[in-house]
Amino acid sequence: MLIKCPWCGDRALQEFSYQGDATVQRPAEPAEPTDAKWDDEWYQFVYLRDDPKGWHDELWQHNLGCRKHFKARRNTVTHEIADTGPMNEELKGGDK
Amino acid sequence: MVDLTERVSALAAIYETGTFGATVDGGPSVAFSERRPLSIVHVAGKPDDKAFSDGVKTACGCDLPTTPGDIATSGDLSLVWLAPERWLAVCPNRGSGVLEAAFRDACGDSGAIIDVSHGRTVIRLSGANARTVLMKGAPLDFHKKVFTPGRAAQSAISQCGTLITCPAEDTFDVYVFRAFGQHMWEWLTDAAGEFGYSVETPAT
Repeated sequence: MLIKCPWCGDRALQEFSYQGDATVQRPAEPAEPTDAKWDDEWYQFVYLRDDPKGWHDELWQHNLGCRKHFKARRNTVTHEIADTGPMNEELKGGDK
Repeated sequence: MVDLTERVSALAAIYETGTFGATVDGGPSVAFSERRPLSIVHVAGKPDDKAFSDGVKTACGCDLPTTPGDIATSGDLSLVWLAPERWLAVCPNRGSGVLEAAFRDACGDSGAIIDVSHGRTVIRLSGANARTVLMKGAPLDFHKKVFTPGRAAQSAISQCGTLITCPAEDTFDVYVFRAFGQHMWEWLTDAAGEFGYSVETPAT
């Protein structure tokens, strides 16, 4: 299986490592640090993950190549990768 | 007393020159040698920061290669693209800390400069089957029209992170962390056994 590193191009899967869900958002700072809602948001941010069937935006690292982190839109059913790109760019493709 | 400043090759205990492996018509088709002693400096910085790019040019005499996998050269020095904003400068030994100081003086605070001369083992393979030996280990495209002289790629051989450069036709340098040097030497020479290989004296 080949994954397209945004810098190095198509490389073998064994050069990469999966680094988690790219869709989680860090909770915004609350007005009151003791806010119970904030605790719940942090609990969700740190521990809870969706397990989607189909297209999913993920973080990958080209750890045996250029060592850069990047985003990949992967289909969790077919393992097809529709798009990869730097962290600050929107991914395209898939049915999202 | 042991001189702790003297540089000792990681391969010193197992390095033996001569001809090894299979006996093949026409003689061995892979030649191995360790490249040493070298000055190797890791250079990191923003290529669009003029202070940094000008500094690098002053220090080593060539422009930063910004195309992934490219190598720029100036005299006996090569500047290898490792990643966006990271390069490796390699040249025959210029003395302890000399190349690092040249980059630090020229770049100032605009770049992060680290001397890694003691931390790498560099194995050179050349000959008609050098490419075939590497194909056994690294999952890269080694086609003659793709991995051409002046190109480099980081990958893994036998699960060790390596930098592979192609300085000239049918000549490849394999850079590994010093601690993996012996393992990489044994892996590569074992892989070359079927072609017959020679081991030359170390050179830069």
